[in-house]
Amino acid sequence: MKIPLTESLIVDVVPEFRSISSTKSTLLLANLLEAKSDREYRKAATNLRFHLQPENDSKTTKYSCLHPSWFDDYTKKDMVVDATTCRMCGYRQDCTLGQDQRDYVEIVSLDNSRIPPKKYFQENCFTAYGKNGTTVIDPFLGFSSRSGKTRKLYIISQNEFSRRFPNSNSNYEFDSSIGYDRNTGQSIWPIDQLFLQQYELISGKLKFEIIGDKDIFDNKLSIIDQNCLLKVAYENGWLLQSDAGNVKLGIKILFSRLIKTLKHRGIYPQMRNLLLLSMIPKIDIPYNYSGSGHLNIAMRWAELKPNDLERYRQHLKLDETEDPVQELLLSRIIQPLFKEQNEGVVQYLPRFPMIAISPSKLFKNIEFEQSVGKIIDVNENNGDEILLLIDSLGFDLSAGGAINDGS
Amino acid sequence: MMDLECVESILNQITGGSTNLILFPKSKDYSRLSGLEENHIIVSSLSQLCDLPLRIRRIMYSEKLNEKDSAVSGIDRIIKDILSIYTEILSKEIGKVESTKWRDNLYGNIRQIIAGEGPFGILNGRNAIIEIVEVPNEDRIKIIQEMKFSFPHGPKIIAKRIIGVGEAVERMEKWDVDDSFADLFSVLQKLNSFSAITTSTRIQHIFLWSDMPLANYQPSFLKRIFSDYIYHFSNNSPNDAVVILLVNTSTNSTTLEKASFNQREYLALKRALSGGRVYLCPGANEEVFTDPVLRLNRPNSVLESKTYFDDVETRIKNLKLFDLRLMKGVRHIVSEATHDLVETSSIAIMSSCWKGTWTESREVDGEQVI
Repeated sequence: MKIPLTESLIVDVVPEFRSISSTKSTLLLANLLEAKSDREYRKAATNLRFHLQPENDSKTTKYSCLHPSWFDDYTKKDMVVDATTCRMCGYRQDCTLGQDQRDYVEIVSLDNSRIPPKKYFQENCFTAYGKNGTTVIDPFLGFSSRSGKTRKLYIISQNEFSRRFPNSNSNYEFDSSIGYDRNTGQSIWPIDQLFLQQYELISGKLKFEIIGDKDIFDNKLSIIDQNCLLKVAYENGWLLQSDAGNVKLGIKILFSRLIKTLKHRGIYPQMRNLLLLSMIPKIDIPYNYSGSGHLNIAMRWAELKPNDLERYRQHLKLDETEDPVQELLLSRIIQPLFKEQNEGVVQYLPRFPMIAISPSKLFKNIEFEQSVGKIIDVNENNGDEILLLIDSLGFDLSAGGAINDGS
Repeated sequence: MMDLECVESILNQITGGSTNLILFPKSKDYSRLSGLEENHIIVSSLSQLCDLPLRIRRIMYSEKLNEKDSAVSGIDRIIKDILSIYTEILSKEIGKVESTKWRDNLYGNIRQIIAGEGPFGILNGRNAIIEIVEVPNEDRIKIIQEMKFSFPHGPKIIAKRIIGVGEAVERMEKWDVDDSFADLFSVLQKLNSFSAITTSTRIQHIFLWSDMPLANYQPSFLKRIFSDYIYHFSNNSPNDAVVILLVNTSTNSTTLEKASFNQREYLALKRALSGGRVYLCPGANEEVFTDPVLRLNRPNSVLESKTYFDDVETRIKNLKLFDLRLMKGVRHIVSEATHDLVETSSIAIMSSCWKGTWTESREVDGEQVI
């Protein structure tokens, strides 16, 4: 299904033909067919067009040639032609007259959902109200740098979308998240993005040190940070209300070790600026509380890079004096990976802008903010499921996963 | 449809007519909302909150940026000059292809700053494209400053200045400019003068729902709520949005027009954020106002007034508002006015709405970063 992104400039007019002198026209057409070079062809086409131009008193509808520069007798003046001239023009095959060259979107269905007809999309999603009545508009204007340009949009049922892009962390509000990690099935927030960029530079240099609870009392974790950590830990289920005091101490030890690792001299110069940033809860980071940048980054690191916690776990196993509480906490924090990174499949996706199309009875099931998408508008239809019209921001969603479409 | 005259009258009283009002625009008639100048309050019905992100982006990215002979087209020209000079400088260092990429990055940044903070933010504030840093020196009466501009291999110093301690100088004054950046600096100066005289536009979007005619609520209560939003609750971003629910809590009221939200209205409430306010407005017959001791103890006295608070709780439960984040972390405020008490008791719930911009944060825009 293709939907043009601008008003049609083509006026459907019934062509009016007139009779022409057959002998000369036949000769000129023959000239055209016999032309041996582009130059000869251009000359023959010019003669033919000149011969077929309408007289001033002709009653047919006259208009200006769209491509006067294609002919030898080109001047900047308008070249008057009519339907008969164009019908027999030597460049008829290449002429853009009557061709629809508007940018358009192609709506591609990603599952077997019953999608509304083209007219529904045109009237509900692609119409803007202006001073002079309605006009065509790209609904993703301002959400996609490709808006207004020819591209694919995708339509998929909400159920299938959730299946393809599962969300492993439902504790957070996704309003301000900016992307999605396919490996962990988690949304990522502005600070995460900065962290992940730095992480690429430091991941090979991470060194864990297991030295009891010394780090907590060595100012790796301030009192404010300890309080913030406990609040986040309870909300995320890393700590349970029934946990004994040693588990609470254990989580402080765990995160002070992670902070110590981030502060290691081998990586601190790269991380310093990021760790010292102030971070706004629920905007820059998903938590309802904000500790120091060190703690915030350590907590996000633990969630976004579970493999590193696995490495930490291996270190623990080597230390016979270590408290088993650490193992308990790791089992609560480490999220199973959804997918190992496959070549060609993009790990990090932006949050796609989406338009929901739903019967009103299902409005209650619509979630505006989802881990990998945000609903920017809702349109009602008489279907039986929630559909999502998605601007994939340059990613090809039809390939089973999401790959960059290279545009 | 709510009584337009009542809303208009209250808002005019509060703003003294200094702010333009647009009441209940037709759904998705964004053309009327784009290209606005000066301050505006747009009052819409609750169901229109569903497409708030779409509305905000349409306003931000409308044709306003392309209008000729307007202030914005002036800024467009200056930005084009900045980009062209920047690309010219870069192409000498890293080639034309790479410099085009950097130009696009810079354009993206500027576009986002304009959308989030207005033209002033391009040279000022934490997202500005220039940075002015102080160079440590031992002279106690002079301050040395450097102006830096971001380039691919790190920021470059494009100008330096020495000013006396306490000397009042404008942001773009007294700079000794590096010759190779003279053109760039000159166009930055133009931008600075331009953004200083450009009036900022601020739009406050109010999404209003009421379960009975506004005339039935206590007049001073309504005034207090709108006034609180306009002058205290809203932030200074170019577009701010709030939902206001006016709810009658008297169980025996005969004036109730809407017992609950329709499906679209209830969906729209999911855009409301937590941390809002609940205004309590007990009616003339509530016991809370007859006990002189309890009156000294508001808001606790109101909360301890069993009948009033039970009614409030029941009504909120019936409206299924407890299931929404709108009711999380709310602050209770009691309407203190007693001179114009009405029979019906009521509450108002006011909460900010997520608009889909990152003006409060590090200015990264989801679709552009990954």
